[in-house]
Amino acid sequence: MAQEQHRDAEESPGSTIRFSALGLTVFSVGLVLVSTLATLQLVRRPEVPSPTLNISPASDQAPAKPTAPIPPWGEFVEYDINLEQPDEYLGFELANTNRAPQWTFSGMDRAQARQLMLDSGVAPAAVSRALSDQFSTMETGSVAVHPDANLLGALSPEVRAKLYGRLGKLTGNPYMTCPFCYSRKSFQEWFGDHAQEIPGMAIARKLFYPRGDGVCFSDLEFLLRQLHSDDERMHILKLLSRQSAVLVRVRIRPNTDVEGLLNYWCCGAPLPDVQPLVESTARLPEGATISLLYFLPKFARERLYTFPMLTWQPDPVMDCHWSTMNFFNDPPDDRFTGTSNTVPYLKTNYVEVAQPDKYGDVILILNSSGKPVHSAVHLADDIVFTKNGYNAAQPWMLMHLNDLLTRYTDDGPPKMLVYRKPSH
Amino acid sequence: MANKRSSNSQETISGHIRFNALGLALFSAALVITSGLLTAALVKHNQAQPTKAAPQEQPAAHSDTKPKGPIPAWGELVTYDIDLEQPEEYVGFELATNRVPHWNFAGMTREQTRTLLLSCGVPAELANHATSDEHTTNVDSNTIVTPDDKILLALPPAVRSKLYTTLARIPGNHYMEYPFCYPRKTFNLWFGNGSSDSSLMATVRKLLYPRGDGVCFSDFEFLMQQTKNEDERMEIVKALSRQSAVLARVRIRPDTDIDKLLGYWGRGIQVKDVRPLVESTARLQDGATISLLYFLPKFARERLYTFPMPSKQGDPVMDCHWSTMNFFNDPPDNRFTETAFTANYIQSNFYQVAVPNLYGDVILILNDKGNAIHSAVYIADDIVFTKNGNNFSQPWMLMRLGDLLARYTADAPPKTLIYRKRSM
Repeated sequence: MAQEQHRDAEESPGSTIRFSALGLTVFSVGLVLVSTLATLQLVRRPEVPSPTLNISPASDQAPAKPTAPIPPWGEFVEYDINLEQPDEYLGFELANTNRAPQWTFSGMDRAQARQLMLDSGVAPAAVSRALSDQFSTMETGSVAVHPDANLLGALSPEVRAKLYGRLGKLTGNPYMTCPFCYSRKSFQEWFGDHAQEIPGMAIARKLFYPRGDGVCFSDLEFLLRQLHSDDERMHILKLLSRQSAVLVRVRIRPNTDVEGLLNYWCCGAPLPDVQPLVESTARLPEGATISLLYFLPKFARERLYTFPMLTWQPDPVMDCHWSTMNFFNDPPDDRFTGTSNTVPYLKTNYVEVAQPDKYGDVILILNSSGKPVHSAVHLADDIVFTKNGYNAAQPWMLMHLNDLLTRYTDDGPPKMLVYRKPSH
Repeated sequence: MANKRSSNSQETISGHIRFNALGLALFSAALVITSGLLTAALVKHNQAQPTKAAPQEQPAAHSDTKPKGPIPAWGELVTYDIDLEQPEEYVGFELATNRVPHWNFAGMTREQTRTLLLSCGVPAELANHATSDEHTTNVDSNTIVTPDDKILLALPPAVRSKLYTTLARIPGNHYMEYPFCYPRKTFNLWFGNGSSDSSLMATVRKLLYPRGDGVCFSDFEFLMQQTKNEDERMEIVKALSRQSAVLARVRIRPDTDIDKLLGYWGRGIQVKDVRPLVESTARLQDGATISLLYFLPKFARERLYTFPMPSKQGDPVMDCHWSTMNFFNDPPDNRFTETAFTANYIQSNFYQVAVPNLYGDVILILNDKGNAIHSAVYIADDIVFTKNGNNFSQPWMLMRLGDLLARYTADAPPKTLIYRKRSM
């Protein structure tokens, strides 16, 4: 190759090659260049995006400003998290749930219970077995069925969904009324084929059933009785009791429309409180994110992601309605426990609107029979402030509205009514 | 060089260099290897250099890399240094103080006042001018000087510092006792180096005086006299009211030692409340940061970066001591507005420690007479929870301890006493 490239500068008399000074220089420089380029290709660090740039939108670093218009509530930075109950509360749950599984057919006789099961798709043989004297009792006008492993295992997910959906509307079936619910994604992650195997997982997998867009589990009493130690029970209960929630921050940039942002949130936190913080964040060279907590009123700011202390009479029952209706109240008004005062109050003092799109809108969820079963406060986007259930083991938290609706789906999709305070 | 190293395989004939095949191969190989090694070494060296463009102003905020050293007990704090301005609603109250500048020499005769001025370094001519009948009145046993612009603008910063520090110890000199303070280099950082000052800001700059590692401004009444209208007053007061504060979050990683973290913060909060949130954040693929608010007790969580409502007759004075002593209280104990009660309470329930290093330690800042002029609560690292001043235009906020001490520095850094609660 050298011979061909430097024909003018060399000759090949016999086995020798002759270079002029210029020829040798050109030849050497050529070699050095080729070698350098080849080495650069070999040793240069592969083009891995730097951590500062290769980030999810939910991370701390400021991604490029979205090209779409910024909504009035600002730019949200969201983390989908899953909350587990604290051990302290799981202990109570374990103590209370070491009972035989029971299906309560309130206000029904055996024939009506039979019909309900058959209508739900339970096989006639299984129905007869369930209503036999061995597995059922008649107590104060209700039929109580204590299903065994065979009966529980024989139900297909679809039949279980239908049966438990109906049982959920009858009193005395707490885990059918308020089952453990998961979005499909969370279910796959926590209980799917690649989830960590723990004692009880295989049994639990057979007992899940579909509900709306999600997956539910109700046979907690049966599952706990199959396990051998409190540790095993605690472990599976902790996993089952996980709930999808959201952590939200608001990104403030130097060019954020601070006035627009504060106009959206002003009915929550007093403007003089939050304005200096937002303005000072906007003065940072790249802005920053601040917790959504700063935009919440005192009631919610104090409670978000905390669990109520266990209550005693005459403490109020801190249920969803108490939490929703007191969102802007300081101090809380304890008349808002349950639906008896809440629903009439909403109808009298609020106006019904088509959809939640204003901070503070009250979302009332009705089950497929039209009965109010839950309420929550719309914050922004698809984020709501909610306390699911009346007991102390449920925290105040933020959820995606869809996840919340899945949770309150029974044998049909829930209906949603939205109320707005006229003064807001 | 090729000649010497390959003398056995090449010859030089009349300006030409001759190689045999082996010699040329060796020569080429040597060139290729040498240049390759040099290139590789250079590339490696360059890759090891830190990127100079990395953000420097907010290293803690932007760094996502796990620090190399041991993680402190409070975890990884992500902090933003921000500057808070007073909300316009409160600035409005400040504007009402459109008064004549005065220096109050309580308990002094005119001659004593003159001597004091001279001892602070005020030139004799100015001291005479200030204590002339034109500018001085004697009320009871006090001498009140109403300095004009000639006196005020003529004081060199060092003299102003000495004089105002002395006046700060004499009752009746509000803005000397509570000046607008700008620690470190924050004044220039916030308001520039003077090249584009408005006439008002230029006046402020002339009247600044050094204190600790920063600068202060006390001639508020004089400045107000220079303003032309409400808008101008509002703008300058809002700017002057800026204070250094800190926004803090805690970074949770999948491998964060949660027990250690909660062991630290558990002194102030119900661990059961925050553990589910921390654990769920740690389960995120890359972890995330959560607001420090979640680690604060109810009192502080509710109030951080908010301003008290203007108090009514009978309301407690929400000063620094009330805020510090009630940090862990729910509801607040209003007896902490009484100095004697607070002092007794600390003596009975706290013990003194050398340095603040546990969440909840109480930091008392003493003046040179040994009186507690301020108190704050140690949070973590160098961050404290504080409310500076007893008026409602001061928010509860997080500050760096160094900045807080600078604010209360007179002619020497203030003394601090640290107390730790016995029962925690």
